[in-house]
Amino acid sequence: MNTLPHNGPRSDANRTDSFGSGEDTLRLIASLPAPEGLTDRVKANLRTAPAAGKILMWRAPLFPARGWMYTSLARGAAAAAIVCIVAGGGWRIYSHVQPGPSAKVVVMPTPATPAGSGFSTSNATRVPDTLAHPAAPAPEVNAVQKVPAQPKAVPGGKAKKKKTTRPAVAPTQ
Amino acid sequence: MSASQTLMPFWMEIADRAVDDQARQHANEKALAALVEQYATTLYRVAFSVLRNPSDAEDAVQEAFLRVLRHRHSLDEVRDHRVWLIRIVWNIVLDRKRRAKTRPETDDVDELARVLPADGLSAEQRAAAAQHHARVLACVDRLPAKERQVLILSAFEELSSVEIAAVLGITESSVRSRLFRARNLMAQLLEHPRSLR
Repeated sequence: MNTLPHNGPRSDANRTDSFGSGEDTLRLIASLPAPEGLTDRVKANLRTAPAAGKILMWRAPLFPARGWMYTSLARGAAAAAIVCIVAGGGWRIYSHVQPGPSAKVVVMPTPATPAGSGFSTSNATRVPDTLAHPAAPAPEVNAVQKVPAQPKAVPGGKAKKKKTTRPAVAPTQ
Repeated sequence: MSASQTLMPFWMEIADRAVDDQARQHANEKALAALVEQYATTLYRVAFSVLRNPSDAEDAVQEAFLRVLRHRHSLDEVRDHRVWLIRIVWNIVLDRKRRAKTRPETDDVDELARVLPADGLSAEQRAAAAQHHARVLACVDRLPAKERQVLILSAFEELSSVEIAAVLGITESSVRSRLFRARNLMAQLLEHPRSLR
């Protein structure tokens, strides 16, 4: 039935012999005839199908392949013209560009602390507010200070010590 | 040189090209018709062996030739039209099979078993043959995908192992090893239906 090497008698494994009838089933399926008129139906389908999907093909160049415009002179001229157009356009744009008014640059003062954190003080110096200190009462100049009386010193004499008189102790008898 | 003299070869060239295009298109159509004539049946059988449904198989063949129509300008570059076409329809069929996986395959198997030819058999033998075919196909469905694909394609007499390898995009040695495994598995399954899985 089949002369191809992979479909021929299987000598590679004995156990595949039992599959012989099974493989016959697949061969039967593979040899089933196609339905009647299949070819005609496919052809008819192909005739109607391309109408929708027809694409305008630009497979060939629009201009003749051996025309005058394919000479080296014409090509060089065309290339030069393209270069001129591009360069001219660029120059035109460049020449029409007006330099804008100079920007008003605000010169930032250099930071007070060169190794600061990026913020400057704008030359502002900090003046701390003076604190309202507690007002002290003004000293009274005319006030008489009462000094406790001192015993008068007797000139030339000893100062008598005031004897403290002990109270006489009365006999309690 | 006047303008008309300059443009004359230009228009003539365009006219020639239009004629060439028409002739090329005509040739392509003829080549395509010849391909349909020659390979439509083979493609149908390949599609049917996987899909197991006549209308689905015919749809797959139609789609394959529509794809060919889209690439008709590159027909000359194809070396082996038969393998190329089988590969196209094979991919279509596998894609359809993947999409229609929700449908129970047992219906297909039973119907196919009835469709298979059983000439010269009595009614009883025919019923037994149908039962056997159904059992074989059920076992085929249980094979791993790679082995199953090789086994199905190997059933086609006109396909050599080199061509099967070209269709599946693998080497010939892979085809042989997969076929060997598939046959072993099939024998195992037919002997002990619950041996796989």
